[in-house]
Amino acid sequence: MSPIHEAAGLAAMVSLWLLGITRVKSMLWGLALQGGALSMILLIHAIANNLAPEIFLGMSALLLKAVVIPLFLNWSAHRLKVDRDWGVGLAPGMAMLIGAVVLMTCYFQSARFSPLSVPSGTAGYSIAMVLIGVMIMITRRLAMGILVGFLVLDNGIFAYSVTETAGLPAVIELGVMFDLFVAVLLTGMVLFRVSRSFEHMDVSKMRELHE
Amino acid sequence: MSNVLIGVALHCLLVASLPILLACVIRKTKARMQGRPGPPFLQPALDLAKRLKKSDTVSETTSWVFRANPLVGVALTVWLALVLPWTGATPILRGSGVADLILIVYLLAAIRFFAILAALDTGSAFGGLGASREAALSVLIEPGLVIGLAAASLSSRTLDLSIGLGSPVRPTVAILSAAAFLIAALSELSRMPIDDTTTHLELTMVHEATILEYSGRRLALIEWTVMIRTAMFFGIAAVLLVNGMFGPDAATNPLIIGTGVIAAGLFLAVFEGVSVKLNWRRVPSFVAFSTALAVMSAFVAAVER
Amino acid sequence: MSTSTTTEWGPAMILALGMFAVATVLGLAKARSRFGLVGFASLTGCVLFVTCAIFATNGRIVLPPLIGLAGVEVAFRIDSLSRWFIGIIGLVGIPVCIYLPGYLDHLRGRVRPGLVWSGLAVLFGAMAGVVLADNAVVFIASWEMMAISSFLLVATEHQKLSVRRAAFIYLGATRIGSAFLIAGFIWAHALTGSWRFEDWTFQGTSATLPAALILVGFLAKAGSWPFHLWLPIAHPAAPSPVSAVMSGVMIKTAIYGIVRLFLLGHLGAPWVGWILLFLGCVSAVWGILFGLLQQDLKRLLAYSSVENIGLLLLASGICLVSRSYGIALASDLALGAVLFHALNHSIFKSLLFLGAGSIDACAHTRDMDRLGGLARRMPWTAAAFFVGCASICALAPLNGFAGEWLIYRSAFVVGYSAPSGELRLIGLILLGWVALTGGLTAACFLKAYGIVFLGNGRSGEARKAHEAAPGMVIAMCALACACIGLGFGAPFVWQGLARMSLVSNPGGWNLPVFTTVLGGGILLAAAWAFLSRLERTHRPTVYSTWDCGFGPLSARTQYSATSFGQPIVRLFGKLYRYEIDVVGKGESQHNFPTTLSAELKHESYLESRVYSPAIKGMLRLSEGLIMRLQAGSIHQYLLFMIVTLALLLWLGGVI
Repeated sequence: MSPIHEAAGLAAMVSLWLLGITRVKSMLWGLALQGGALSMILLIHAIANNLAPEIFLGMSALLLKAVVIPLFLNWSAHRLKVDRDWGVGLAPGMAMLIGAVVLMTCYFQSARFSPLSVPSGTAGYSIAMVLIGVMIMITRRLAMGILVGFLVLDNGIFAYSVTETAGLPAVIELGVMFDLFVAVLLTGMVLFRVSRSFEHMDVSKMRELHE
Repeated sequence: MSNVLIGVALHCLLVASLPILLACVIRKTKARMQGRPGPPFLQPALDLAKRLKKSDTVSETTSWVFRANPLVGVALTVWLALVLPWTGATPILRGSGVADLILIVYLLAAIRFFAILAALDTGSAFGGLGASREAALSVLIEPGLVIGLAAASLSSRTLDLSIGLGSPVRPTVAILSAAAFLIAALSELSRMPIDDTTTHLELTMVHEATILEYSGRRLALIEWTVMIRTAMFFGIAAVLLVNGMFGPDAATNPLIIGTGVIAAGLFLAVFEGVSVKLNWRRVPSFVAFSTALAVMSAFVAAVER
Repeated sequence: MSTSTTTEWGPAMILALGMFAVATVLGLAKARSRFGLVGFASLTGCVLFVTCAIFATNGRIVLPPLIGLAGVEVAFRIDSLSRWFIGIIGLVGIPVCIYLPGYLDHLRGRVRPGLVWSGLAVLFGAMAGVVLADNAVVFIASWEMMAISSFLLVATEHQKLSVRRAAFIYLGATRIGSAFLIAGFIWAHALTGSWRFEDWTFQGTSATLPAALILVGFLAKAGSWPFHLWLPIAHPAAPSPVSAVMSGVMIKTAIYGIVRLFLLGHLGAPWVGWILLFLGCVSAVWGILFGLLQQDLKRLLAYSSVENIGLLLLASGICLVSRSYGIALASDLALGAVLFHALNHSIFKSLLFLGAGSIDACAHTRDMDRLGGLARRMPWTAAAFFVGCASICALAPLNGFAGEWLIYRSAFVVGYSAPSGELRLIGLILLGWVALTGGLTAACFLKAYGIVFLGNGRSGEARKAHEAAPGMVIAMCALACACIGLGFGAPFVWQGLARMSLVSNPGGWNLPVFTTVLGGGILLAAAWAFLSRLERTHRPTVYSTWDCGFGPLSARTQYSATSFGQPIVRLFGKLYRYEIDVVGKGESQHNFPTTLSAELKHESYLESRVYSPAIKGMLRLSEGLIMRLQAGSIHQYLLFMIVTLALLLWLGGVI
């Protein structure tokens, strides 16, 4: 198996882990690890084919996904005093086992998702990451957890574009990535506002806004 | 032939010595972690010797199950320790199929069966509490245990662990299985964060509650059993990890594995020093990590035969 | 396989069936007889069954028909498979016949012993007819006799309303199952033009629909999910020896049918394998999860039968699926697992049901929350029940382990030798699934033994219980010995299966049972010797259980059956909407309530969401439509008859 395949598998399994944990700090570590693994895919690909713009892209992805975003979220979590996110509905352990089934099913159905003639399974991993990202968003209670789920989802899309397509032009990739960064920053700001005005970040309690 | 004999002799020697050594290391390190000098290094062994000299006090409610439990526990545990390849040396009857994974799992189940019945036998509420929790834990860990070890022995195409664990295993599979096995072991051995062995509050106990009525010699036997089981589980995890990272040759080297077991003990003691016991209701989610890791290990093993 | 030769064992088999006929008549004639001739005749029949199972040669037995059957022969066939199942019937039958007189003593005044005997004799004969039948007509005839006789046996204590209700629910379930089965058989006959099972070869996918119908019929009899509802209702209502036969043997006739037609016959297709696999997985866990919830010992055992049927179906599924992928070893092991586990389950499940009967007879209750401490009051029953529990928990090296080990091993073989990654993964996950079932079973039977036999008696009845009658104890001990013997002799059983050419791999069993037993035994003896040497000088002091210094413990402070299962039940609580409401009353309700009450609620979706609405709909339909049809007017009925006749003539192409 190629290192790219291994890295994609690692990223997918990390998203599974994220589904099963409740500590925000561990979630951010997981996010960083996942971002690192995905950037590595890009870098390995770029270095093997000697593509200068992609190397640059990979480096910036590494910086952004594995360092800046987790650090920023960590800082906000610290300021918001968010420590754990007990989920809603599904218990984290059960969610993780269901996620494992999703992951395996997606892997075995890779051929359906992949435009390549010889699918390697990375497409399945990417789609699984998207789905698990959604699952994280569904099962979390706090805005922070939902944000993490969103980032996992985004990582899944990123992984798909890196492994399955010839690669978008580097400029667009960079643009998307910075959009994402801005989105995270904005969400952070909103979270601060939410936490200041409602004294908590519990999304399940926001329903009261209707009344 | 003589190589095998030496290996077997070494294995038996390690079975006799390593568990007690490990218990001593854990006890001392834990004390240090709590900022106390702790008892003398060999205190666990001395405790065993002291208890063996004392006579038992047995409840009048109990039947033969209560009296037989420590004997069955000791006999089966020693048997498992002799046939399982957890020291790196050659286990007895290697390759004859006595270390069959399913047989091992069900012998462990037999030990637990007697332990739980003995707890119910006393007719005390604490015994029942410990028993029901122990039964619930075994339900939780068994799937992960079986899937993980089966995945690790998939490439050698045999359920015989004495062969399976000593033959080449894919690193990813070995590491995932070892992680799954370690988490399962923590709960099987009633260690933190599932169960606190040093607690004095009966309501939070699991393993301790099941042996609350034991004293004297039978308690000594049970404690020795627990020591062997701890060492054995750590040993298997160490064998898996070493096999995954450095290959089967290192995994059959008693020196490396012995060091690994002691290192695992040190790690456990440090971990127990800094972690807190989980709320009983959150235990399932913790053990689910073991199952998920085992399933992932099976996934990798099945996909990349 | 050509079986046109007649066997010299025919007369013995006919004699055995004749014994049961005699027993039936005798039982009906002398309704008061507890044992006497009727019991002797039944016992002889069962012994003959076992003898035939061991020694008989293959061949056919054709009886001269008493009436014209449109060319269908009244033919029986002895071959390896039917010998295996005949052996199961006999092996369970002998202890049940020994057990029954003692048990009937306890029912004195409530039932007429002779009727139970004759019902049981019909049941034994019918079951033998099912597994010996050479063609579908004989099979169905025996099948129906089996259903009717077991219905009558369930209704033994028909004075009780609950028993009557249970019997009718059971009757309904068997009717629905038989309807599917008969439809399937007729369809298969229409496709192949023969009633004989061995002529049933199909082209292409034409077998799909009859196979589906037959499968549903068998599954309903076996009590697989989702057709399992009758088991926990009928088994507790029947007298315990009858439950032992029904759960131990009768539901195995459905497994026999599955093996005969699907695993060894031509109806087996990959899709059947996948369905069996799926239903097996669901039944196994579902059954035992509900078992954990029960307080009634016999209901618990009935649910555990659902679980074991699940395991058997799971193994059948592995057999068919792996055969369709060409994994011969796995399919061989799985077939062996089905047969061996069927035998094992009949032994330990009938042992446990007989044990439950003894408890019911001697402690006058089956509610586990009212029992306790019986190990001291009924030591022999306790010992036999212990072996049964250990065996059903598959503790090595008892017989329960032997069967389950084969299932595990076949799943593992699928795991390493299947051609595709998905299948290999499924094999490995199945290992975990069976392990989960094993863990739950262990918890369930730890509860059964621990709560009923250990600790202190939770009620006056339990504290006054006495040992069962010698016949009952002997029967249970014999079954317990069979559990141990089959466990230790598992390698020989496998060789026997190979010699009967039911499995093709003589070296399939590679587990050194003896070495393990010897090693463990020596260590146990050493530990015992060591301890008793130490204890020679200092005997253990006998003292009361630790009571925290509050004085003597009440038996009610012990964990009850409900509380023992609580942690696991809570884990899977969502599956049955488990809820517990604790209500405190008193002045300061929160901290110091004077009275506390707790209410447990659970709901089984299948009953409340599927079956109840369906039955209600049926009732509404019958009240609305059928009541109008049944107006009581003879003219209307005559009209119906004419319309029906015309319809039939039209269908037959006459008009």
